[in-house]
Amino acid sequence: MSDSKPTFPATPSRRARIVRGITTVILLIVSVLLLARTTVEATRHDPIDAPLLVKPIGDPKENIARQHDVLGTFATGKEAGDRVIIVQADGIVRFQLVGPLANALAFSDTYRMGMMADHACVVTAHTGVIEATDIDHFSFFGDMYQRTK
Amino acid sequence: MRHGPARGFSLFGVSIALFALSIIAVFATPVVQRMIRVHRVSATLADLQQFASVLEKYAHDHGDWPSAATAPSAFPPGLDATLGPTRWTQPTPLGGRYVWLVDTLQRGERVRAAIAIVSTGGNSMTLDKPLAEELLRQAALIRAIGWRLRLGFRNEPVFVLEQ
Repeated sequence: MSDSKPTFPATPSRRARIVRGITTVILLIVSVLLLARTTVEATRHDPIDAPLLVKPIGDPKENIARQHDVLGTFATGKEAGDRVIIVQADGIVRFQLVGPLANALAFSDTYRMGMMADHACVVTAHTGVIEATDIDHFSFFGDMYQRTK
Repeated sequence: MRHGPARGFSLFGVSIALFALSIIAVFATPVVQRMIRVHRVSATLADLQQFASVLEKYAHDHGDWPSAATAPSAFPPGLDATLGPTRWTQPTPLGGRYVWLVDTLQRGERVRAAIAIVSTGGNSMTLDKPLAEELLRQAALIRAIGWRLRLGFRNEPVFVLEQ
């Protein structure tokens, strides 16, 4: 007569279970970190131009004074194809093109004031930094703008 | 009642699979992104070359470029029929729309005739540094367009037909 005792699969020792549990937790943490890093890298938007060193203006009075200096209309010229920047007191800056595309290519952006070296600049939310080289001139993407109003 | 070995995945097995997937993602994502970039840029350059040949033929036949700049995606005057079958009215592979420009300022230089890619209200161009570098790199490899392609106002790609 054969021995008919039931057989069970070998259960891992307590030590082996602890090691497996720790390995599982480490693998999960590392996986989540790697996936997070991959997602950040994949969705990162590298700006084309190196970011400029713009300092915010902390003093509200100076901020208002600097803003007052840049309010107005600035243009590269009056011919068709010239560009216009209009800085408004309500925190909106408008960009236009002189000529038949004045409306078609016009767009607006919000802005705040900043300082670059020793002169003020108009820091837009999405369009870039307009450098006020003096009270009557702007420099923006290689074009020089002169105050017209 | 039947008792047997537990079926399904153990947490340990799942964690190993997830780890393997994350390692694959780390290495595959940049490669896939680069492939997409290369494809978008080559499609854009192919479009620009096609438009340029149509516009140059017009200039050759009429002695000058189409006279007026037109709104994004609108055909330059007199080119409805020839540009109609192209992708002129479609969003560009880089986002944004194609626009015909005459006598515009681009980074301090006045350009007589050019095709630009501009963001419009419902369709913005997504040109970041790697994409811009790929665009200029591929353009430089094509002798006919290397010098013509540059980044203009707001870093918008400008394909210069006449300086």
